[in-house]
Amino acid sequence: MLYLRGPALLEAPPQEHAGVAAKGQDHSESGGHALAGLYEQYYDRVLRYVASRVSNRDAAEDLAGDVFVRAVESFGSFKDKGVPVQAWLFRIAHNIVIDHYRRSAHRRSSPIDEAMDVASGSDPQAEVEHRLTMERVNAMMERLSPAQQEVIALRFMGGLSAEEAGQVMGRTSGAIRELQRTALKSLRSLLGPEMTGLGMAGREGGGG
Amino acid sequence: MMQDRRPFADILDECLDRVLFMGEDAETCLADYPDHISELRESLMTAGALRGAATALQPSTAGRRASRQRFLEALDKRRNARPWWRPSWAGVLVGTWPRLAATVGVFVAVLAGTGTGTAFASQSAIPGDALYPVKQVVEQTELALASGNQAVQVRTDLLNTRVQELAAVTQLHRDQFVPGLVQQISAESDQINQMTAEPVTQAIEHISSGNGGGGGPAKGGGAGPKDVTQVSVSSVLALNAQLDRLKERIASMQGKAKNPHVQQALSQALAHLEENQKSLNAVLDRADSLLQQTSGQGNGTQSSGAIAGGTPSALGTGSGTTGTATPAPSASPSSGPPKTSDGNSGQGNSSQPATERIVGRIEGVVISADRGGAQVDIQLRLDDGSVRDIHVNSSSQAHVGQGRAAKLADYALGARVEALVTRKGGAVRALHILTPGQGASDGHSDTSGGPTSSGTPTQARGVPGSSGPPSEHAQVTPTIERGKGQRQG
Repeated sequence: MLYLRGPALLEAPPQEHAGVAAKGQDHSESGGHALAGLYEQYYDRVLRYVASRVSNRDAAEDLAGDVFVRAVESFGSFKDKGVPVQAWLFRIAHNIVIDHYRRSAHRRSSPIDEAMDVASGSDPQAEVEHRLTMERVNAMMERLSPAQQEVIALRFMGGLSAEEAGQVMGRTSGAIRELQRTALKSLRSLLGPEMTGLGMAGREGGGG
Repeated sequence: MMQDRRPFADILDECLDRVLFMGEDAETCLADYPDHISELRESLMTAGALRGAATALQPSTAGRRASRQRFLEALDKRRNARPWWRPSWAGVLVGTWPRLAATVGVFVAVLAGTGTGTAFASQSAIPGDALYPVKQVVEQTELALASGNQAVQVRTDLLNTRVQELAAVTQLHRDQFVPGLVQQISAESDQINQMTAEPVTQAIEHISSGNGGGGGPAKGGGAGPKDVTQVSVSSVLALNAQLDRLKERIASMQGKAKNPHVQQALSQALAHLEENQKSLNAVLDRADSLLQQTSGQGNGTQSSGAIAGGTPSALGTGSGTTGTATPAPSASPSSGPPKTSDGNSGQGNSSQPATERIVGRIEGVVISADRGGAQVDIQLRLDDGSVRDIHVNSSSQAHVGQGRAAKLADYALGARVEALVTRKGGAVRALHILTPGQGASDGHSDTSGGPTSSGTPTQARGVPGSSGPPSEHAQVTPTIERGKGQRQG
């Protein structure tokens, strides 16, 4: 990584990326810093990640709660493995989602809109458009490979860097970037130009 | 514009970070990679759509709350379930646990609707406990709210607390916290030393420069510089004695510690407290010589009695070899109990030093305290077998609380002391503990336990509220004769 990361994807506090930059240096310190506000800092992002992987809304919230409980229980492994805190946390989330799949026979169908409320915007029309976008995104995601789906979920729902996503998935960051490229390429063709345009508008409105 | 031979996937990843993570304008990044501009733009737009979808998701309030509750419960459970201070945790916990715990503490307080319970529960916490940071916050708050003498008292309590924590931490082998505690103990002791000694030093300077020596010595009525000195000296003595006690505790920890680093840290703490005591003793020496000097000046010739007739050593140097009270011949047997001082005031004082030094063992302590202050009546058995009643009236020292007085009683009971007391009224001007009392020997004060002095019928102590306001205390005290003791005029 030749540059510093800025504020994280989904309202993530700046220090998360400081944690990325400090990778391999002082895990106890950077990890501890994140751990201090573990729940408040990561709950939304973990939930969004889980919700993008699990169909049912209640199940997603339960599983997100499981992530933090398991994080507390396995805090020792965080130190032992020496990974940045969010990679560690999303690794837990990743495993919990996999466990969930194993337990329940069914896989997710169209997770995002079912799982969560849509942010109540002042503009009903924009809200509807968002919902439609999400439905299409979800539908398109289904056509990606499991690894591509995971990369998209970690990177854009969870707000991880490619390196961190690689640590979660046990792959190199190069492999993640390649999966990301192919996933975006597939989605691009599936979503169509009008949807991507809407998405860009939404991003700018979100305040970077 | 960048010439970049990296794979497109890498360039895309960089632009995703710059645009989505750092909020950079997409066109800027696109301009850097004109070779890939088309594919890059479309990928960025797709990613933007995904991000837009993600940010539209809002967790439900109920779900968030339920998860938080589970998180906190898990933290609590783990804290109670396993010996988490074992070595494998240590490295991580050094920096992280207090902050985690602080967060937890705040959460608990918020969830409970009030911080009081948590704050209370935290007071027994030691470093490494989840609630320890809460305790620290409470302490800092107390400190911030205290002023003047209160601040000294709060700091003294903090010093005691740190030493108690040090004992607990070494016992539980939470060795990683030892250096920090030692550092705090040293710093706190420095602070208290300075705060306690400084007024004394100032008063000494004041008197030495001729401003305070002229009047009747130790008349004690107003807030004259000398009076200030005398009051403050007793606090210096008290601090000195307390440092003795703390050193004793730390030394006993040192005997039990196996980790050489811990031993070393404890040695440092001991050395530091020792240094503090040296500076206190220097102040005491100065105050002592000044007191003797002014006593001599003011009352001159006759009464070799009090100070000269007793031990020649200065108060505070600790040579308590002789130490019977010097007879005070002028005292006329008063009719009945107390209140004698009024009638004798004119007579005796003109020919005697205002103060005298006595040495004896504390056999009884009565504490009377109310919101206005506290008075400690001390029954002293002198070396000649006589009994003297003296008192420390704390009303002149603002905000000496009941707890403090009770601690003093515990600490002092059984102690052999050298006291500089006023002939008139038996008010203690300075008290030097030659041999610590029983409360000191076991290293902690117990404000609830009964008096344990050896065999002697001791007076009840620690009965806050059992007496009247401070103005009454002043009347209760004066010299009560016991046995073949003396009374002062």
